[in-house]
Amino acid sequence: MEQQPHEQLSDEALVPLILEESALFSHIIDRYEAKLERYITRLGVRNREDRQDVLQDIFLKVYKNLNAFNTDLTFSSWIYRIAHNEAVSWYRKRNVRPEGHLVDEADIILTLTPTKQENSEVLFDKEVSAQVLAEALDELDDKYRSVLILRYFEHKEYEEISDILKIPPGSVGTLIHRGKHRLQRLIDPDKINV
Amino acid sequence: MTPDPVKEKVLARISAREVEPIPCWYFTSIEWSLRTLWVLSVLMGALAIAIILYVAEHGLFAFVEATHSNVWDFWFEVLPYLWIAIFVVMSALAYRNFRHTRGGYRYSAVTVVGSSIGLSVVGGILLHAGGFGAYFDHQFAEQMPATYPSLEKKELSMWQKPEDGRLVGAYVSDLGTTTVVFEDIDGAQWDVSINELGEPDEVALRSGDKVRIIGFASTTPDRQFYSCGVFAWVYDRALTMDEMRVARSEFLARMVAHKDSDSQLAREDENDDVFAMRMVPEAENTTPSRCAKHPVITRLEAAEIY
Repeated sequence: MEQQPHEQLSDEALVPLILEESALFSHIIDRYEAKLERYITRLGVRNREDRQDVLQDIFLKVYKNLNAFNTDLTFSSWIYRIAHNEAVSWYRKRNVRPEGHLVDEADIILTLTPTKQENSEVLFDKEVSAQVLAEALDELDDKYRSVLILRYFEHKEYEEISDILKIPPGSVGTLIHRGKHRLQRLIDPDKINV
Repeated sequence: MTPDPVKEKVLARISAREVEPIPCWYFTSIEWSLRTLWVLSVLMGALAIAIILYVAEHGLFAFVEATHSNVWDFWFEVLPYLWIAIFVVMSALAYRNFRHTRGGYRYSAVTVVGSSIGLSVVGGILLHAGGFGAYFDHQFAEQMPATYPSLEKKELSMWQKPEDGRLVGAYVSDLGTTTVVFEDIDGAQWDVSINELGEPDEVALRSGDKVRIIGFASTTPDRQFYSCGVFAWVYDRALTMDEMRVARSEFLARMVAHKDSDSQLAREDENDDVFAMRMVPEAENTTPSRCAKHPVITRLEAAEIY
């Protein structure tokens, strides 16, 4: 029987094989390193060396906890969960406020602005600078910031966000909605149309 | 190919066996521990509800007018605050334990708390219906007599108050035709006048069982007590609601009967001073009813219970 090459196996199928042959863990690293690096940068781990340290911790934690993974959720959601917790743990240890590199992702940031369908009292239009929005996003409470980053920057579905952040699926939509409105309130009206 | 320091370091540590996967049984045991803790929290909540129901049911049929001037003071004193607090804590723990299970985060707080409380309430109702509320209240009292505030202990503190005309104890012996010796739970012996007791009161008294007496205690140190009603002590066993209802009806009837026994005098003597010695024509009983002036009668009148 011809075996499927490991590169073609799903993450979920790879996990039991990794537990028998640890070298296969390199496939997981190859698949997720770039994604997770972008993710933890957005969460606030700015320095390159810090990012490498956090990524290392993430993958070692994933390897240690492979037996904890179960197919109730996707492997992607599970590894993102670990990445989220490690990033949060990192900036809590340093007692710093997370400041993500979001300015360069202007197109994505601007999708956060509520449209006329969402809010009849539109305070601003697309002339609001990405810089202003990025700064406002950094000021949001972690619970709103996290869901907005996962939804609009990582393009995760509500169920995935629920699994990553370990919150009820019903709460995800509520947090996104409230997060966007908080964002709107944080934006300094003087900076609109600059 | 550009070097990948993260990948190299991670794989190096793995191949050097500096990091090993945590065994499966560890995660399985955590999951089952959390589930077990959730179940235990719900069960403790159910026990708390059973005891709360036991206390509440007794409270509904308590002789409140005998021990308190208003019903709020009674409930304030008798509520099982310990078990209410335990129920709240167990509900919070049940929520916490469930939320930390593998899939527990998927349920809203309302669902988790609601289900845990709901299961505790249903369980508590079933336990109480089986008499376990009373059973556990007594068991805890026996195991921790000095500290556990059982219903019986609270009722004893409310009933054993000679200064307020209430005694708890048992019949010892006769002392003349209208007086008996009664020993209260503090070991003091009283000369109790049974002049105004009806037959059910005397039967209850002479049974030798633990009873409660309502009446008047003398203010002198000679331990004289004028009894107006004798009622079984019911806080050492589980009673059905029907039994409690009957007991309360009897209490009301027997106390009200004292007022009625004085009515003959009241109609023929406009003066309200029932302790004045005066000849009332055609009255069979020239000795005024002392029990008719008992505070319990006053409270029953005020509440328009009879």
